[in-house]
Amino acid sequence: MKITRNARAISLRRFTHLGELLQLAFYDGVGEVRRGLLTLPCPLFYVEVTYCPDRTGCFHILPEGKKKALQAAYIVRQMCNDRCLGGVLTLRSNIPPAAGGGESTGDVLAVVEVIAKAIGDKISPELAAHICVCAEAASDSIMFSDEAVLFAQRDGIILERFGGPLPRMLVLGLNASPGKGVDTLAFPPAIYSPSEIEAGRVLRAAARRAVQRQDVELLARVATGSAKINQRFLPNPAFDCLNALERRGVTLGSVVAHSGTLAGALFKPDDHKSLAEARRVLADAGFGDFHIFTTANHEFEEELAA
Amino acid sequence: MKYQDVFEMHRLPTIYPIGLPNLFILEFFLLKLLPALAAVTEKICNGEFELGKTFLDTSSGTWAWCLAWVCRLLNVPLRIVTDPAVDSRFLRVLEELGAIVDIVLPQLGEGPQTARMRRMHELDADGRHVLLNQYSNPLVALSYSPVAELMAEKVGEFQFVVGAVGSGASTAGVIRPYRSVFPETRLIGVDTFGSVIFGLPENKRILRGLGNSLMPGNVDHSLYDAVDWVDAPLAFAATRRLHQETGIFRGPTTGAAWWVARQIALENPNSRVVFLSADSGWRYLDDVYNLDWLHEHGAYMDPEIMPTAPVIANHPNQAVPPWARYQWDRRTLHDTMVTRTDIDSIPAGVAL
Repeated sequence: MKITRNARAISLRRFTHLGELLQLAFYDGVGEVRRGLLTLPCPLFYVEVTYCPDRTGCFHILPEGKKKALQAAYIVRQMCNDRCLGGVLTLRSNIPPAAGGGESTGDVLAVVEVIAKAIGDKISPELAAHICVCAEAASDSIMFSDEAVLFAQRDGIILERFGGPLPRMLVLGLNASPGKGVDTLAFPPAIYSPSEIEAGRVLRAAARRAVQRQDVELLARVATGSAKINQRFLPNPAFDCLNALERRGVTLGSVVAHSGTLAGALFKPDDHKSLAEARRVLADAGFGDFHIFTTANHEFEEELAA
Repeated sequence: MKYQDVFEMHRLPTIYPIGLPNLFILEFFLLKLLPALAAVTEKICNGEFELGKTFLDTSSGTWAWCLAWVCRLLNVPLRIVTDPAVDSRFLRVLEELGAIVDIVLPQLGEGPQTARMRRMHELDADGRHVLLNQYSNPLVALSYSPVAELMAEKVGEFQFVVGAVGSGASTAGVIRPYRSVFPETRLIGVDTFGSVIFGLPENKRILRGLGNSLMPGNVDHSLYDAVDWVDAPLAFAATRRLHQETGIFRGPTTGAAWWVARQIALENPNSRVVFLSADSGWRYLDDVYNLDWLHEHGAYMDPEIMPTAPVIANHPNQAVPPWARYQWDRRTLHDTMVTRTDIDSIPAGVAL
């Protein structure tokens, strides 16, 4: 479908995530080591985009400075082989900036999907992942919304499909140091030791088992294991407190944003009592900015009334 | 690699419950195939091995066998330094696989292990050998992580992992990555009297394949929650009993580990226990599975009097045959042997 001069504005909302349940380096199918992650989708954080298409051949993006998203728009245009495609893209987000909540990939993906939608195309998650990596070097895996996958964030490929969605769980998210974010690209990628890479085999196998058996407790232990390794590279100020709560049996495990300041505690889907206890302890320890949600098989893309 | 599939089929153990619902065996075709593959391919890939050189290590057991197998299929030469105690039929296996076997006779006042090390250093000095260093190459322990992966995938959580300790590589190599998900899992090392690994004085050992007269560099004492010392008669009786109870025909280190693991599984019915089983029983038909030999060597134990619980030692120097346990509590050897000399301060009869 060609965009006409009078095409109407089109909007969509793209939910992002609260850190990673697992992030490390893993062996791919031929024995090469690649960085990979398993993301924790969060229905509270989102990017909204409104696209007013035109035939100027130029894209404008608001707020200005969202260069990666702008670049993604041009990549999509090139892939459509439509030189005249252009328009104005307006992005809004409620994600704390640079906290590891996937704002950057959310921007890029929202732009990619909204343009695809405008031209009447459906873009596969695999292709979206590829475009995201082209536009921003390292991307989250939020485009794979129906299935838990181990995603190579710098290669834009799936290392493993875990064979189902994440189990339902209750999450108490928090921003451990609001206002002090991490610039993902400026932050040097973690250099994992050989023993950490070998540990990745077990974390990955346990994640697979947890997804296949919908085992929240096991998945939570994977998250804690991954967060522990990450503490060496980007210590999260809330981790010690979260870890103490886990040892006391209040939480099942802890999740952190491996490139940001977000963190969270994981619970069984109906365990609001433990969540309240954890929240009280964390608040007493000086943490705030809580985000409470349940993971489910959400439809992560939601159309807004244009 | 041309013969990748052969190794692919044999490098990983099978895991299944044995005798009790909460007791699992990790049954290896040959325990050390993973590290042999890793150590040899590493030296080929990093250029340390070049044409004209020969791989070299010392062993009289599965390490030699696995190296011979790997080197044969990779078409690279191997020299194994061993002592006269090595079984002549086993030598034929190594030689069939093309390994050069060097049997070193100890000189006056020299133990067999020292003699082997002396010969190794002589050979290493000539620049034509590439040393594989089973006891100190960190890659040897690292290579066991697929086993931990298998445990996590197939069964999930084990509360206890039991394994014989000879080089310390398999137990460490399994528990380190495994604890990244299951940090509480307890590791029980099985050693024997006369082995120095967990602080006992060196002495003659007839139970082979576990224990050591020298301290291997790969042993990380701080990984073990408890150490069980099992003597030869009990290990041999357990090996035969495992065979007679289950038909599982394995070597004596398996018998020792099984007996320890079985007792833990019986005492902790709500916990899952797994033990490592290194090799098959065929190599031991003439000794462990031979009543005459057992009686001649004072290594026979009546199955009726096999102890069903260890004697709890308050310090390694209190460990007594046939079976003793010490709560190691993930300490270093130094902390255990030197710092905790005040043995009265340790409660007696600590439960595992």
